[in-house]
Amino acid sequence: MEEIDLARVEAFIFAAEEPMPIKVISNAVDLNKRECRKCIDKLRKKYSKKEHGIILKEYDDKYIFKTKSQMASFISKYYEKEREFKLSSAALETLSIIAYKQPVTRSEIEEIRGVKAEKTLFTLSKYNLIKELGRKDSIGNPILYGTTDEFLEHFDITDLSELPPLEDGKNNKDKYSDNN
Amino acid sequence: MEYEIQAGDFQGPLDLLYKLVKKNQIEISEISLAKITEEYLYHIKKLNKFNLDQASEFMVLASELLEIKARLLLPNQNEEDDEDESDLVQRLEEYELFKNIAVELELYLDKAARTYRIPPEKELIKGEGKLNIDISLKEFKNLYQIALKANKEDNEEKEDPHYSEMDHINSDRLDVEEKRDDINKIVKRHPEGVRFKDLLYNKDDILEIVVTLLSLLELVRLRKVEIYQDKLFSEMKIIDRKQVV
Repeated sequence: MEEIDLARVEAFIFAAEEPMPIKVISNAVDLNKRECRKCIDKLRKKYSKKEHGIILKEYDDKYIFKTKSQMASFISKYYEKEREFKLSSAALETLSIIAYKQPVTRSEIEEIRGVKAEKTLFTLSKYNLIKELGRKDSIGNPILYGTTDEFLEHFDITDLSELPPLEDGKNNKDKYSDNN
Repeated sequence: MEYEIQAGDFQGPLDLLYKLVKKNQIEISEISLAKITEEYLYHIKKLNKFNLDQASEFMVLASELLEIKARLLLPNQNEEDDEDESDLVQRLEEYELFKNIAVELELYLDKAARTYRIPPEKELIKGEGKLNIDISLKEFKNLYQIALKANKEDNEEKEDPHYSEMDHINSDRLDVEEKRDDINKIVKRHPEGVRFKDLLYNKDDILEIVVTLLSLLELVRLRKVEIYQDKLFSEMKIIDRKQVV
């Protein structure tokens, strides 16, 4: 791996406004994907060191630089970060169901929560957290919902396999049950 | 921002049932749903002002609970009867699962909010308001130098010990009608056209500039003169309309 390649990959990701897919990066810097991944791995290791305040983040094989969360305490004093949305518990519950059960239909979600999901689904799509994955091959061909890449980024999850295991909820029941 | 009609403090029938179970501090799997049927019904009665959709959602579960309770009270219970209850218990358990996951996900969200990234570059002027300044860098530099010079002269004037910061009181010597006739005469004398600057006696007199511009606009409206400009911000050239035609 040449140093200049590393520099190019770094520069390209740095300049990106959105997480960049590996394919786009490798095209832009004229490297094949394998070499590109090597560069990314090296950069990731480099930035994970304590001496760096930024980190190379990955969301579903898309990459972007962000500040480390440990730095938030003083950054937040100067740069007001507008949280784009505040999710109600209804929206969070619906989102959880979609995240774990995707592809899932509206009626399947409603079955679990026992209430109509239409408005919540609308809100979640408005914030780009969920999308339509297609239609289910059953009566009425209902829409199938799934989570988006934006969902991963907003929740800072590398990919869906990083979601907390479903059993966790059960085990931590005592911890959370008083939150109601 | 999230909008979901809520009945009281409950997000739905399952939520109400779930909270009743929790309130009674019983494990879902151990609960006899029949026991909390009364309580469930009591809460439904308390919910006023709910719409039909919601009411029906709550009623469906109420009827399920009543059915379970009724079966329990009847003799000859067989295994099949238990199925309704275990089905509901299962639903409650699944509901709890996602309720807890939702809490956990919210922690993720909070943590994720602690990382910052470069915000997308914002366009200084958005969309239609964008100025398209079609001049070369050299021309731009010239304009800058002209502005700089004007400013310098202005400052020199101020450094003059005789210069007074006080505004002079002038008589109202300008009016649009008079100026209009003046311009008309000047323009007629110069068929090749005149510059806006040439129309001013004192180029630093803001009042005169304003009056001149108003007069000029009036003349354009009356179709006496035409104004040409090569480019945006370039000098205006005023030509007698008769010369144009």
